[in-house]
Amino acid sequence: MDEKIAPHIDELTMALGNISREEISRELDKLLKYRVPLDEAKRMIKAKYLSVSSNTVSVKDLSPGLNGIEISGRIIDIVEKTVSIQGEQKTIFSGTLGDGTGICSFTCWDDMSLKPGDAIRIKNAYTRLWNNRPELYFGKRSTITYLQDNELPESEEMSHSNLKKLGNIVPADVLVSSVVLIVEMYHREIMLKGEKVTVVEGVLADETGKLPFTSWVPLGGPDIGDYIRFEGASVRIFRGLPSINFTDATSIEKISDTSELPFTMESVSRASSSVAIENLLEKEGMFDVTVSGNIISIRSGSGLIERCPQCNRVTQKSSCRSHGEVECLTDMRIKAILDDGTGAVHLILNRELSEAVYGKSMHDAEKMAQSSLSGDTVFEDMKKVLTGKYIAARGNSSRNEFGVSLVARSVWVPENDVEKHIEDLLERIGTGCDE
Amino acid sequence: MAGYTREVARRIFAQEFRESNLSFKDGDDQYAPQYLLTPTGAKVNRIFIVGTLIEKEDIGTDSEYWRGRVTDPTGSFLIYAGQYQPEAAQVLAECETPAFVAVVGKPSTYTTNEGDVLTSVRPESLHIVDGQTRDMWVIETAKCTLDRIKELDGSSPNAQRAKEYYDPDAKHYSSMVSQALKSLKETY
Repeated sequence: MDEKIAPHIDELTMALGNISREEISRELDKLLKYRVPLDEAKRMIKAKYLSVSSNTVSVKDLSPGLNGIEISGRIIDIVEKTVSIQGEQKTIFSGTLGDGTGICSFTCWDDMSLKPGDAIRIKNAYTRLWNNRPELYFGKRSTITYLQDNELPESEEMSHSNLKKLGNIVPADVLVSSVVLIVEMYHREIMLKGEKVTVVEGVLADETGKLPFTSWVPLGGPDIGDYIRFEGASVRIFRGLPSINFTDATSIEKISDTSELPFTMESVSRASSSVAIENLLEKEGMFDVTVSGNIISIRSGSGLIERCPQCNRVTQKSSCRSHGEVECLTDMRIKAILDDGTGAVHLILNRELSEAVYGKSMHDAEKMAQSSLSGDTVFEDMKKVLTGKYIAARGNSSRNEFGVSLVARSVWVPENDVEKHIEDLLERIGTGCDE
Repeated sequence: MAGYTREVARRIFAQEFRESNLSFKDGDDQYAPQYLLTPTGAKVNRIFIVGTLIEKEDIGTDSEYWRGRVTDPTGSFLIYAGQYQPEAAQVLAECETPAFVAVVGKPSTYTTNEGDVLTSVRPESLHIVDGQTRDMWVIETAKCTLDRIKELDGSSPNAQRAKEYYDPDAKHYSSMVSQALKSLKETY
């Protein structure tokens, strides 16, 4: 048996380069013992190690669900914790790691005697979503090498709050500073640990984008239309979308001389032009973006639906998964795939927007459903009316396990001057030929 | 979560689609997605067409098997829908020709005994649309095609591979686009 598989082990060792022969042989043996066909086993081993051997990521590019990545960074802090996993006590190590592009928190499953300040390279780590941020995980299956101390910035430098444009803020930023314009602002009372607190919420903008903000302390002077410089605001992540939080530790200063700034109230409130969907797919989430494309599919779950009156969840056969049998409220929505040739997103439309693009009110839809025997009448009709349609939508996008979704705040049929488009494109071809 | 992204529906004119014959899989897994690479470097797993359905015929022997021909300004696409494409087959069975239709589907290739590769579309969905949607499709497809022609000189792997395999004549395809746009212009 061993002689038979030896050439295959050689072949794999050659193909994988930096993985030891013993390790490959052990893996292959194990798979063959479990009666995995040889070809399938070889393919699996290749896939497993190839992903390990080449995939260097920097902290700012971490996203949840990466496997077999390699990352370098300095341990900013690390603490030992005892957790119980399936009833068993286990010691794990968690802390934060930075590399000059950002900071992330990590969990190390095993004692690898790491200390704050260590500059290391971790091979074969992975990431998962934890506290709404990508968290780095590694353990004894990972390889750790120590780097020269001067290869990475000092800890203090990395945890310093960076001056950034809103469009460039990513989950790897924990503290940020920026110069922005307040475009929306309102006060809201919330219950915090049984106490009523007034927080300020709103939207900030600069020439690269917009982001929501929350201030946990009174803002004092600044109001809508004011330009401010803030320092040391903390970044929270919700559904991949950063939000800026002003706390006691944040300093905010109103700017009076705005002549040098590359944005104005007018420029940021103009309806932003459409971005290519492929750009949305690259990000965890985007705030207030516009896309346009064709509806190429209407997904199930569209049409008339029923919701639980208490928690607003969609119910199945009048039964809510947390409140049981309930008197349901009828609602209408559309879940569509919008595709512009560069990428595809799930577009989610509420009742109001659904009525607008579908061209029938929920009332009409209910009548239609009542006069037919099939429960899918409205869904089928939506497919017929909407598939292929060219529309534009504006809202927030976020990534989830099914891809990227855009929850629309507004939706419309773009005004399309076909003749002008033709002229523009013909001109483009014309200039192309002259070259 | 990083794993799944839906395959994009590419916009391709009929002429370019007909001139494509390089199909391949990404990876050697038996479930790896199948792609068709076109001469301007579009890597197509899903295609979106809006055109005029001018012919339809049930060519099935015992069960229904519909063949439709959908034209755009540059040529025509063949659409095959059988029992595994029930929605599309039903629309084909019920509709009148000619009609504007929007088709979302997968490209498929067939090699004849003579070695010629024929391309066709296996529709996931097929719906009747209006003339404006069709006109916008021509515009969008023109735009996408011009973008790809421009990219042919770039370093993207698809462009490189298309150049190597087809050695495409950029002029040939930009005049196809301009022909499509001009024919659209006549109707305005």
